Amino acid sequence: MEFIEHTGQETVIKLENVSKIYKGEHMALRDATVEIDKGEFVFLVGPSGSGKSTFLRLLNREETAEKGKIYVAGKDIAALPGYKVPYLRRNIGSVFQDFKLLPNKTVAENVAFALEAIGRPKSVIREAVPQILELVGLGRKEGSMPNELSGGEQQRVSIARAFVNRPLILLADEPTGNLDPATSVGIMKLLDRINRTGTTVVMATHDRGIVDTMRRRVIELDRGSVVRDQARGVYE
Amino acid sequence: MAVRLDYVLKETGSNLVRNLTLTLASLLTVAIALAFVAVSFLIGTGINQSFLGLRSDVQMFVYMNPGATAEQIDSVNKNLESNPQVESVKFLDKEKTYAEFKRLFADQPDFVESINPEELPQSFRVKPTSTDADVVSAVGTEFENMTGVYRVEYAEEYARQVQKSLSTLNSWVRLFGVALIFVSVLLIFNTIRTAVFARRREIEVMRLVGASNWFIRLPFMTEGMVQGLLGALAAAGLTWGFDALWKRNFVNQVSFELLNQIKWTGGDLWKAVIMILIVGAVTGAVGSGIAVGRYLRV
Repeated sequence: MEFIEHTGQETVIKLENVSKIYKGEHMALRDATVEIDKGEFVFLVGPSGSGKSTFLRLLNREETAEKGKIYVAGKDIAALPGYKVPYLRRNIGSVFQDFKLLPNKTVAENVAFALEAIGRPKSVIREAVPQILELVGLGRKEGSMPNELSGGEQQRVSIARAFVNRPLILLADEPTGNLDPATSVGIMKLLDRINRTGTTVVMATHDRGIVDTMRRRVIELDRGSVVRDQARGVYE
Repeated sequence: MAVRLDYVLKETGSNLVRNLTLTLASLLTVAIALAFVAVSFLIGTGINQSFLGLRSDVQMFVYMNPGATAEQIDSVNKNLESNPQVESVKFLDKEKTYAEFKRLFADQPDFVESINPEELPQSFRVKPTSTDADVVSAVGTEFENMTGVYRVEYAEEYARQVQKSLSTLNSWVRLFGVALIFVSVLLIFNTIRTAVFARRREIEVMRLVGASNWFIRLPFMTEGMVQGLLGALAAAGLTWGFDALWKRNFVNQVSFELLNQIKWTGGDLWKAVIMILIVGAVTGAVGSGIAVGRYLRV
């Protein structure tokens, strides 16, 4: 638990002049400098290919930056040795457009899998899984298989899996990208609720309606550069 | 962080059952490859042991002139016995030679009748200490020129020929065995890689939620080890069958002149079985550890 320090207003994510270059030429992120405080809800907006996903993937070290420094909970994550990267990721939940659920496991097993994978004892898993499923509104679906669920329900399972370990940060890459507007509202309410527990949420999205309704901090990227960073912002 | 044993066992078991066809296919190929390895080991061992049998029989005959004096015989005897390269000497006097002669030509009584025992050469049967045919002939040459010696004969010619053909066969069998171990390793490696590929989503999720590399790797490694072991067990069965078949059809059967020389003991059989069990388990575990490695790059 070396990353969790719940004390007051502090910076949990800090990018200093970060550049990410793919294949030696394409700049996915260009000299980006961003600070995000604990408990903030941040939208990352911008056209496809503007670097939103790269921004998120850099934070849990799925990618490494060619230039600049990235700090998560005060630590320079580029300096982490490989074997410590899993411990970084235990403090960062991830949610995706395509849910990434395991099709051969039930809802409860999918969520429990996240705890098993980090070696949590059975007693903890037995308690935490029904609790988190209740929180995301799937208390009665624990025995269902993912393919028996609607898209919105599947995304709730994936959010439950990302949040069951109570991470410091929740990264969401177009979590409503595959969902209809009504279902999306439900998902956003859930993410908002999670944010209110003190979890920092960073969400990449194309959904103008959601951004304009929620009025949270908006960071706009364009061809890898941060072109706007606005508190209580709108999509455009 | 400790990896929980029950988790590893559960994952291993459910994955083996889930990919049943794949598991069976790889088990079969591994079993056959490992059985070949064991069989080539047994044949190699058998050939080596047949060498030993032949070598201990490499003998030399020192024939004396029919008219050799007792002093001459005694002198040769003393020289043979004091020669450091001679292990044992056996003297066949006229009576013994005649008895042997009668035994050898028992089907030709006329010929036996026509021979006067006094005309038969007395001889020494010499067993040299060294099994090397070159040493044997060196010892022989030493005695060829002693007074009273008629000539020296060797069992060498035949032995050398057999030795040569068997050692060629032996090195081919060894080469074949090594090649098959290599093939087994590749087969296990490839099967596990397919299994890993089939579960890449799980691995992706594990990495995302922060599972350590060993935690992800371990179930695959036990899975590979179990597969390797099961394949090796099946191979052990096949080897046992081969052993029984060989013993019934070839060993001590007069009609197979060269093959009936190739035998191995029960201990060799155990050695072969234990060897393939270890090879199966180790290559299974290590192969899958490597196969899963490429999905673990952080």
